[in-house]
Amino acid sequence: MKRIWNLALLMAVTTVVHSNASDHPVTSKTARSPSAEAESRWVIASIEASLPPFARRLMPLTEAGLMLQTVQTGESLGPGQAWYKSSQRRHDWDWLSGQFDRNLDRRITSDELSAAPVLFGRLDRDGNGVVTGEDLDWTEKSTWVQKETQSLWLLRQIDRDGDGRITGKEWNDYFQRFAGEKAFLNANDIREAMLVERARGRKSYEDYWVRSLFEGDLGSPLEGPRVGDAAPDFTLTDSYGLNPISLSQFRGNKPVVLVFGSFT
Amino acid sequence: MYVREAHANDGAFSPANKNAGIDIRQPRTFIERSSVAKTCATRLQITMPVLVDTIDDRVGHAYSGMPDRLYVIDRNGKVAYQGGRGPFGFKPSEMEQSLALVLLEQLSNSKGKAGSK
Repeated sequence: MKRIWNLALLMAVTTVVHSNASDHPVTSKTARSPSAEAESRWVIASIEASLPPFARRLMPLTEAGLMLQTVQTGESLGPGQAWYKSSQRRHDWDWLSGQFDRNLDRRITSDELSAAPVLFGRLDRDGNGVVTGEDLDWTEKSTWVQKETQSLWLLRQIDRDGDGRITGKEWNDYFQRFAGEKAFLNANDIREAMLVERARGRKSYEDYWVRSLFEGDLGSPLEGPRVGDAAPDFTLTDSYGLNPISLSQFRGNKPVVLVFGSFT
Repeated sequence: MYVREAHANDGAFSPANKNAGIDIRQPRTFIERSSVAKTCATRLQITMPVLVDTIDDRVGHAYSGMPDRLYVIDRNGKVAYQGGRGPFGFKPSEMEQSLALVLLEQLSNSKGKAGSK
C-alpha cells in the first residue's frame, strides 16, 4: 500500500513539474528559474530510482531518473545508454528525398540539388557524389558513425594537451609509445594501439559519479527544448561581462548554432 | 555558450585533463567563471563569440546544455536540431549537416514563395 502512495505522489509531482516546463523565456521573472526546476527534477529522479521495478514499468522514467538508476547500479555508460540518447532533428532523409529526389531513385544527384551546390557537398557525407539515406544516418548502427567515433578517440589519444590539434611532437610521442625499442610500427602495434588499448580504456563508474550527477557535472536533469519548440530566449554577455547577445536578435534573419561546453 | 565545468578538480575530475595540465576548481562566481572562459577561448583558439552562462546555470539548464550539447535554431526561433547529450551525443558533423538542411529548407521555401507570385 505504501508503494502505491509513493507512486501516486510521484505522479502528482511529475505532473506539476511537467506543466511548469513550458516555453517561458529564461529571463522572465514570473517563470520558475531553470535552476530551481533542476533541483525539483533531481528530487523526482531520486524517487524514481528508489521505486520497485514493477512501479517503474507503469510510467516512463524521466531522463534524470534513468541516468541516476544507471549510475547507481554501476552499469557502463556509452552512446545510446541511459540518458545518452541520439539527437532529434526536423529534417531527415524522408524530408530531403520528398523535396529533391525528383526521379524517385532514392539517390539525390548534384543535378537534382543544382540550386545549392555548396550544401550538396555538406550533405554528401562520404563524398561519393550522390546523397543517399546512408549519408543522413547518424545512429550508432551506421558504420560511418562508428568509424567517426573511432577516429575521434584516436585523436584524443595522440593529442596529449587536449587542444584538438596534433603536433609533430605529439605524433612522434605516440609512435614511440607503441614502437618501443623498434624503429617502426608493425601490424601488431597498430592492433595494440587501435583495438586493445581502446578496450582497456573502458572505465567503471564509481560512487562519486552519483555526487557529480547531483551537482550537474554530468548533465542537467532538464531535457531542453524539443525539435519544433520555440527556443527559450536568453541574454548573456562575453567573458568580460560586455557585448550582451540575445537569441531573439537573430530571429527572422538567419539560423543560429548554439554550442554548449566548458574547458574541461 | 560557456557553461559549468564538466571535470573540475573538486568534481568529476578526469586524469586526461590532469595530464594536459588543465586543473580547475568549479567556479563559484560569475567573475571566476568568466576568467576560466577566457583561458578556455585562448587555449582552444575559439574564434566564434563565447557567451558565459550565469553562475546559477540558467541557460545551461534551460537547454540541458551541460556538459556539452549542440543546437540548430532556425530563423523563426524554432529548434531544428537538438544534439544528444555530451560527451557521447556531441557530434559536430551531424549538427553541420542539420544546419545545411535548415538552409536548404529556407532556400526551397523562399523559392516556393517567389514562384507563387
